[in-house]
Amino acid sequence: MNPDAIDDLIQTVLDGDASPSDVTRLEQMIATDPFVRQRHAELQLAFAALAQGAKLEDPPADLSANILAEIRRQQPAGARTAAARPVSRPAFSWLRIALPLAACAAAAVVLLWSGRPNTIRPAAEGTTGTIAAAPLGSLTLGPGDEAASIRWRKADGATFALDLEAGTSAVSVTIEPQDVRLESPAGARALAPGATETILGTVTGEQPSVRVTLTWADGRSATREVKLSGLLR
Amino acid sequence: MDDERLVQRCLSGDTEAFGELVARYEKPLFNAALRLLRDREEARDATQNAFVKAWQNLAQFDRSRRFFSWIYRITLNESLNRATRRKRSEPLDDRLVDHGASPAELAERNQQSALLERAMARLPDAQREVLVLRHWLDLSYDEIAEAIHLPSKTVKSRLFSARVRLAEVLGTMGVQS
Repeated sequence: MNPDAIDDLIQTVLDGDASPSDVTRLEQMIATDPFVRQRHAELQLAFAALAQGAKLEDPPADLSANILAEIRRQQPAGARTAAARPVSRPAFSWLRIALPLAACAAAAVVLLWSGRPNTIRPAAEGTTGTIAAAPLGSLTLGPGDEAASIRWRKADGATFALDLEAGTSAVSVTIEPQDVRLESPAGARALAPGATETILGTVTGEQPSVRVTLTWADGRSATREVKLSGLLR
Repeated sequence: MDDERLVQRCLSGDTEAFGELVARYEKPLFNAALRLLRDREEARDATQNAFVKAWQNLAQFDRSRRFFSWIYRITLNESLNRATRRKRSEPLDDRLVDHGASPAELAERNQQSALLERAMARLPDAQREVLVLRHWLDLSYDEIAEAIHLPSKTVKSRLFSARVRLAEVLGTMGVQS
């Protein structure tokens, strides 16, 4: 029996998937072959450690509530993808081509009729658009609909932005920075129900993070540390 | 109610159905993230983001597959992205420390679990992953294969290598058979 086959047999037996005859065969090999005995002992050590130590830990008690609070803020499930949307088709498929063509033709007639292409107005001066950077991370703190959300992202003119959004209850937010400098004054800030606020900051050290503490009117509070190491990329 | 029915209800806008899926899988997914990230706070954020992304992209889920395999992939990617970001900013020694547990928690934690956790931290991510799926989440070889998109035979050989490596690491830590 080659070493690979021996290894396979040992693993199958220790996994509990071997037939009685395979178990007997391995026992005989262990009794007579020092290599098999040694190999079996090594793997048995790993199996024993895993059997005794591989225990599931309970997740944080508020994890599921925070997940559900977050998805209730979102669009309906799957709404981000086109596949979820029912596709409505016109009864006469030729209309899909004819209608846009008709619209183009109508636009051309209007332009020719005016005879003055320069009368087409440019966009108003000062019109600008902003594409917000995708958040690097987010979390929600608090129970159910009262949960407030915190998102962090890279931002122009500053190293990062923290977007705060209160849930259905007013909440006081305190942010303690570490290795970062916040552009707004330190201290608690009050958010009305559903209110949002963006706080800008810059990274000043190797381990940037902020400690966010939320306190609700009835005295309940929750604290989380937000690691901003993703900003260092 | 099976996962497929729950997914169907979610797509109809039923957040309670998604709550059922969260209740069913938050523990194994949190533990998978925890074993990869070794930090409860990061594991919590990775698990939460994974569920939110699953909700957002549920229409893309191929319902011929297991829901767990799909959301496990999302959790894994979320965890690995976080681990990669962290590796860029933390020295190696810091990464081997369990940031999620206070001294008091460590004292309370089962000694065997703590020992295994330290040994697992020295394994490559790919080996740690298959051990977690097999021994913590109790998945079969075929289920692991589906979750990590590898043939069952490859899963089996990777598990073997991981177990041998784990035994070696335990040996260097003074654990004897």
